[in-house]
Amino acid sequence: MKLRTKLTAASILLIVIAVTACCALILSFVQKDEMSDVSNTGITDYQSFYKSFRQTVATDLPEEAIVQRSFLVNAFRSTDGFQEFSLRQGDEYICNNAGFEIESLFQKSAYDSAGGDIDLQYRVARVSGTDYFAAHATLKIGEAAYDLSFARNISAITDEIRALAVKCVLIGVAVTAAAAIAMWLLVRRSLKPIDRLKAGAGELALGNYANRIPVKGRDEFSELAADFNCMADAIEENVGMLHEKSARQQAFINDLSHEMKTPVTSVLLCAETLLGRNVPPETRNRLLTRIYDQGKWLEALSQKLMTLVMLQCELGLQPESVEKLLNAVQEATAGALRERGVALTTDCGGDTLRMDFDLMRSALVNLVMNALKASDTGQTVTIRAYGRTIEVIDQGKGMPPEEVGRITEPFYRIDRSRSKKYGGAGLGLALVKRIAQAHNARLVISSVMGRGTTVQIVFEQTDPKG
Amino acid sequence: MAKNRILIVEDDWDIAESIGLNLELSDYDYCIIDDGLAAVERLKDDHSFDLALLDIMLPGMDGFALMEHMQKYNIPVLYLTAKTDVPSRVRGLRSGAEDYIVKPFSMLELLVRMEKILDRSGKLNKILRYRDVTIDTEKRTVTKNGEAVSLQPLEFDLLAKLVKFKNCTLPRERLLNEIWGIDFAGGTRTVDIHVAHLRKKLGLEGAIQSVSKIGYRLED
Repeated sequence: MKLRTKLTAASILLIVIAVTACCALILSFVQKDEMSDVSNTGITDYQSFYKSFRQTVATDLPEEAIVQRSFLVNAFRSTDGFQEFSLRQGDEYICNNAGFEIESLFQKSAYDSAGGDIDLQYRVARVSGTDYFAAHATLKIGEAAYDLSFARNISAITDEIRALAVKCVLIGVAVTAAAAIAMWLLVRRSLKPIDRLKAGAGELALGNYANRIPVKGRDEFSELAADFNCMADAIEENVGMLHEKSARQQAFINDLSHEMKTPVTSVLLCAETLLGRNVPPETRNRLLTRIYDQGKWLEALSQKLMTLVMLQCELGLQPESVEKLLNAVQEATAGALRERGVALTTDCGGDTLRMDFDLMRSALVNLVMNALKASDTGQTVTIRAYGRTIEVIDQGKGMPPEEVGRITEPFYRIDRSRSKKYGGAGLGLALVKRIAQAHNARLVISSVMGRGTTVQIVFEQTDPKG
Repeated sequence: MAKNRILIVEDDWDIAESIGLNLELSDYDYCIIDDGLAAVERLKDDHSFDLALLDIMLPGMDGFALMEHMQKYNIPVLYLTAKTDVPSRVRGLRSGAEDYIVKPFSMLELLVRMEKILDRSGKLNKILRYRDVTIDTEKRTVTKNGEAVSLQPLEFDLLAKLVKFKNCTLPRERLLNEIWGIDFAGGTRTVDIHVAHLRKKLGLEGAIQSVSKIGYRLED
């Protein structure tokens, strides 16, 4: 069952109970009041009749039965209000004004007894469609016991009460109906925000993460809607990040597969030519050299990929001497520099930094080799360390600004054929960036066309955890 | 009749050169260009190519964009690319390419596909020549020094295949499949017998080389 129906049904039930209880209470009060008035009046009237009748018959009671009887009838009839009384001796009525047997009302049904010197029984009863207040007591006259009974028609009062009850029921029904309609509208209005929330959640479930729920007013539903919108924000952001991440990974895999396919194609073509064709010796040597070069290049690529994978794990960072690091870089690059006629100067102002020595050396060697590729014979490459920064500066040809942003992308090359000649896999700067990130360091590249490039590795003030 | 001219647009020089070497050995003329825009420039002056082998990821202009320039000069296109995804293949073939080969590929497969395209476009040389032997693939006649040589139909097919793929080693099973058909019940021995007949009838004893355990190769 829907919450709206439940709430409405429960409210209507409560209203019905409340209205019924109210009407019933009011009616019962009115009835009790009226009945108590009727009883009191009745009892008083009965008692005064009883007393005056008893007084009348207390003296000079004739002895003879017939005379006695007519005396009693006379006395009865001469007492005020006799029209509502009946007098009976044994089973025989001396006088019956009620027209029915009043005494029978006091035989089995419940009745009340009034206190005082008269042992009076009274009750309200309905006899053949008419309501009566009935009272009854035993009266002793001489030696004999008589039943003095009283029946007063109270139909006027009970009819009035009945009419009141009908009015109460009618008013109750009307009030209940009005309240039910009002309740239904109120519940519907109050629950309207739930529909909006439901629609919003549905949109979100369908993957429409940009959808937001309009927030109106300041009730709990608006708070919920606001919270829901916060959740949608978080989901949208996370999903966006996931999409971006998977797109980056997909791009990386596409690039990688292209990078791998090219040398593999070359190796297979050369091998197929060597196996299936009769080629002159100098061509044969050239093809073999090509296979060897491509194999070496694939090996270098796989090494770099291994390093990238390793960088996903936690590194054990140790405080290492920066001077030692720069010396190691100089040693590793000396041969290539000499071959190209490029000088390398180191300027070490740093002390120690927390690092993985081998990875940092490989990053710096990468940077120096990049600088070397950009340099011409006779120029100088400088490695400078100061504070928490290590930088590699060249005087080479520099890069246009739009290249600077892209150059750390995996497999990005400004000039593919040239870079490949030096054995670059296009992973160099991407790798350096990853190594820097693993050291909680930033890679800052600045370049001026024709003036040279500076690449800085800036270690953050706080050491990374571990 | 002139050799078929092939345009290779491929930015990896090693691959382009290997393909060129193989084409040369199979009696094709070729021209290598390593940049999309350079290819467009080249076509303005020189567009008498019978077939273009296009890489898709090219500097300057990509292979898909090059297609319309090729179509302008009625040059059939065979894409040669590392892009394996289905949308790229569909796009390549829909754009009007004759074929689509994914790297890494086998040179022999490339040669077969090239031959099919040349055949379809009617640019395939109908007259094959090898030393003093001339083969007319249309009339199915063979002459040596101008004198007609009578060959069995299967011998003719074998000779045409060897000449078309001269300098390539053709495996026995392959020859058997392509000439005798897959259903042929005889063994690879049949190929050996027909090769022996060819050698004898045309005096090609030294030219048709046996490559041990693989098959045969006709050498220049």
